[in-house]
Amino acid sequence: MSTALKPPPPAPESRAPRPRRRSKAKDSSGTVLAPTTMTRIGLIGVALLSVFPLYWMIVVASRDSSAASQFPPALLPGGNLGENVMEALNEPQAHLITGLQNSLIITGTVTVSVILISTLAGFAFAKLKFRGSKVLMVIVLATMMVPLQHLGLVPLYIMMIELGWTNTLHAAILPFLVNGFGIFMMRQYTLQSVPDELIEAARIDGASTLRIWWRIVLPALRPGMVVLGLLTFMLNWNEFLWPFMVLSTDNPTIQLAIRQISTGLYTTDISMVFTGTLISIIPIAILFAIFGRQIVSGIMEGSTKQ
Amino acid sequence: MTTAVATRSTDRKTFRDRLHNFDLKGTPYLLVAPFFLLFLVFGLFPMGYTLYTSLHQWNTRSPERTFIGLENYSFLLFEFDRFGWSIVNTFGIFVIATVPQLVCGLMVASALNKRLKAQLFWRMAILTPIVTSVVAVGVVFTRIWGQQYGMVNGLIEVLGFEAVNWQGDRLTSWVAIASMVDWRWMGYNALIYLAAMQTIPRQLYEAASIDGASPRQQFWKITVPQIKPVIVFTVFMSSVGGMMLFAEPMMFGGGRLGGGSEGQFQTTSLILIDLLRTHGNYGMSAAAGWILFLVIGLVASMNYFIVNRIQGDK
Amino acid sequence: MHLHTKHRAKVGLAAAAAGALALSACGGGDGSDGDGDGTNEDGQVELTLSVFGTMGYGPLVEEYNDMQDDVVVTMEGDGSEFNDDHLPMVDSAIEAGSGLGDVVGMDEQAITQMMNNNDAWADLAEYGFDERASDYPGWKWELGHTTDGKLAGFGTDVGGMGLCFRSDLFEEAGLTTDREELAELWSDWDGFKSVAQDFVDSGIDADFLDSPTQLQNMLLGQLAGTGDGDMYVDDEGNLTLDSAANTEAVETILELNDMGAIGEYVSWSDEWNTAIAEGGFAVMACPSWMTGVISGTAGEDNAGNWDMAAAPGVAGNWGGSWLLVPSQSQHPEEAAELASWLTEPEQQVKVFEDVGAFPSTLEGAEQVADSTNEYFNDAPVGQIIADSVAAMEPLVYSQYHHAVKGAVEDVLNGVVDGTYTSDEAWDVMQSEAENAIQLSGL
Repeated sequence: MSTALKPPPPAPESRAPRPRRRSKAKDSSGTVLAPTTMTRIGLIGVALLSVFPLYWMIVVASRDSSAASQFPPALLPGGNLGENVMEALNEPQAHLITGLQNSLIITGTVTVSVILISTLAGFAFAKLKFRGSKVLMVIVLATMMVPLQHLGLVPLYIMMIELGWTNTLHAAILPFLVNGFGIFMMRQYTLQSVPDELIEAARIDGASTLRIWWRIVLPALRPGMVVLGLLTFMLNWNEFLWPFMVLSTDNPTIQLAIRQISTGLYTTDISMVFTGTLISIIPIAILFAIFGRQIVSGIMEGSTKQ
Repeated sequence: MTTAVATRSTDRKTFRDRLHNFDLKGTPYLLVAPFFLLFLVFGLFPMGYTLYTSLHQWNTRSPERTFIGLENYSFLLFEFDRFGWSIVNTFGIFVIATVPQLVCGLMVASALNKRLKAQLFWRMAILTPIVTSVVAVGVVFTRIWGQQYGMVNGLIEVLGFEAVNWQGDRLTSWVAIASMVDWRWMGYNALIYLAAMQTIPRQLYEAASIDGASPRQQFWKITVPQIKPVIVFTVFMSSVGGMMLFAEPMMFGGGRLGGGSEGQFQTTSLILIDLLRTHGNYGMSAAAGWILFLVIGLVASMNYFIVNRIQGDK
Repeated sequence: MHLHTKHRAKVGLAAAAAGALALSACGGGDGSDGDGDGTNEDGQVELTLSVFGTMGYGPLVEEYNDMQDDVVVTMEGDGSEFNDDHLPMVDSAIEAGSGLGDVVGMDEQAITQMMNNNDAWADLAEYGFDERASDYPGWKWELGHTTDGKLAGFGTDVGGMGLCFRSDLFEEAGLTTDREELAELWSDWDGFKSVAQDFVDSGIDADFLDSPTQLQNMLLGQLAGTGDGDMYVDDEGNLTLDSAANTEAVETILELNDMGAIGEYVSWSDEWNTAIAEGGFAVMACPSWMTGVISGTAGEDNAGNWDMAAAPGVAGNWGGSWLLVPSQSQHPEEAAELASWLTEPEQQVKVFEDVGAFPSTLEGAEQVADSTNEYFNDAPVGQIIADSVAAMEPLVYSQYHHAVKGAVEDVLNGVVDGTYTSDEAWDVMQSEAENAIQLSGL
């Protein structure tokens, strides 16, 4: 469910003066308490639980299919990973490679467009005075609360049928360009990181609004854009329902390909299913490994930014 | 640029003035236009069209649209038991998913809020599940909760109990599906709580320590009340997502939309899609869509109301 | 200079977005939406063959493309599920008036619903293909006609019936593993019940049957064929759950379930697949096409563990498909030629050898009548299926059949997993079936 991934909007009111951020992680905590042994053990347990299903996916993906039904479960990876990967990629009914390509195109397009639309509108809402801006911003906030892509699903589906767009990638892309969260987030970033004086100075120099956006706002928003881009990418990479409606099993996104490989095929090999599933999360896992710090701070700042 | 402007003739200047005027008054609308155009076409229009469709009999077997008033609604609400149950299922799964997520999330956040080394490592570790998609979670967890070959039942049998048919009952299937939601979101929520905890002034804890309050007391007396608005907010944000739960129960049911033999884990979204795809009934699935929309609207306004209340209390 | 680089970057960003959109448009454009005139730059006719499940046409499409130069065929939908993917796609494409492909596979459970829609299909008799009537048994030929008499397509396979059993589990349970003896033992359904009882009494750690639904399909196919043909529902949407066929089928299942002979493996689920490989159950209803499912799912390790015997009771059918040519095809004649070629006896035999789907043409059935299946202990699959098909009576499915079928199967699964008692089953079935008809928009 895509809506669940949306980082919640900031807490409605700041409850207390925010302490200055310290530069060192260990000092950033609000308490003076040192962790007890129990705390450490508990944390290790939670971390293991968080990682185990993923690890088990790798284990089964690197063995043969009986590994998934053994008890006690196999806990060490086997040697079949390469073989299984080749088999999964070459399985003609699964269309994993098409799925990866389509997901890259859809997710990439949505991400670039959302960043573009959000930085433009976020800047307008944060720094420009125009009639009706308050009402319009309320509409933006309302779209954050209610996932329209899912509620308007029936007519969207009928629309796509009548336009003859079913099984086309733009049918999968267009509804997801409506993203109130991105605008909200970019508005907050703009408010915070672009001083009014800078904009006024540029105006006096005769710079147009678009030029100000380009030369002053965008550079200041860069960290925010990275976070927005990462979250949008992850969200859309994992989107399932709408592509399921409008695309076919031959022209799937990666998520549809996984559904097909795991429940759609008339004959099934579990280790291949797990291999396919593993392949589907690799792009996100890579992003996570590279940008983990930004993702963590993006989520945390998203919740407290005023 | 500015020097070039200075050399321009006066009539050009008025043109430029007009341009400048438009830039101030008009450009803001141009900047926000893309979003609102898309919103109109892919947000507002479909909602209206759903309403129109829901008042008609229209399906693949009778392609002519016939106006039938609220019949689709009354059938779903008063005659088709599964629909009412689907709302119960949706809420049930939501509750089972939310409570442990909340408790664990708070505990983990409070653990991370201590003086730990390698903060980033821990944060990333608990956030790992977020890299997986709902489909991937569905694939793995459906195996884990399998009746005959599942890991959980394997453990239960080793302990000397009888294997459970997790799909067979309402409650057991809810637990299995809720576990998928839990696993995927617990760490994410913990990070949000952690962020909120870090805004709590350190002096509060210092004062409490001096008064001899134990860590447990500090947690319940200081931490939880201080971050209450954030807790409420995460609960209600996940409630909107929870109302739309679709992929997890679908994967758990082997890719099918029926949600078990008597629909014991059929969520409202599953029924909506089932109506659309299996039955080709556009009119009735549109009605189901509007009912779901109203339910979400209700939940969202409760959200708003409660958050306001809490702020008012302070 | 600095400003220029920035500007260029901006243009680049905009171009990237536009490019991505354009790319996505192209990516979709080469789908099945039939734009242009359906020919490629070499002037060849491009045809799309839209299939589902395991129809086994991959190698044949290659062969067809190699043997002539005028037509290029692309196959879509291989492996897609009929009810969840293929049928919704066909429904929406008919509604849209495009995107259906040129030749469309259609399963028996929805063939009537399709043939009720006269406008959706081309008339292949116009191109002289009514001459193929003599290839087929009458019923299979007739079902490929619309209600106003157009020849919309040709039959591919028939299911026929056999019973697949795990000889290793039968041996463990102390039962005979000889397929002739077993066929004798379960020559009627009472005999089948007593074998089931013996198996249950042996107490081995496996179920006798996989699920109620596979058996239900088999029983219903048999009994409706010998009776008045009524199954669940007529074409006007009136339920006939009390038909002789359904009554006896459900009662048989309830009895077997009370005996503890039916497992809780929901057909086509993960666990069901695993159980086929791991020996979770011993017996499964086996139309011809199921042999391909079993060998593919159980894998090489289980070669020889599965075997096939003649089914109890009388002859009957479960499953079988058609290849139809929709009226929206831009090249109906070429499409008809392709559909006809794919369903010729010779090609049907190749499909049988490849994926186990039994030929529906008379000549094709004759050719495979003495084939054996190595995977199934060299069982005489051809003969078992041919016998069941030769004596079978045709079935006519109503347009509501598949909706009601889903509801009935849910209830049967619910009886087996303990959701409903046997006594409740009939009432629940009636109300769920009524709902299913309402949901389908009556």
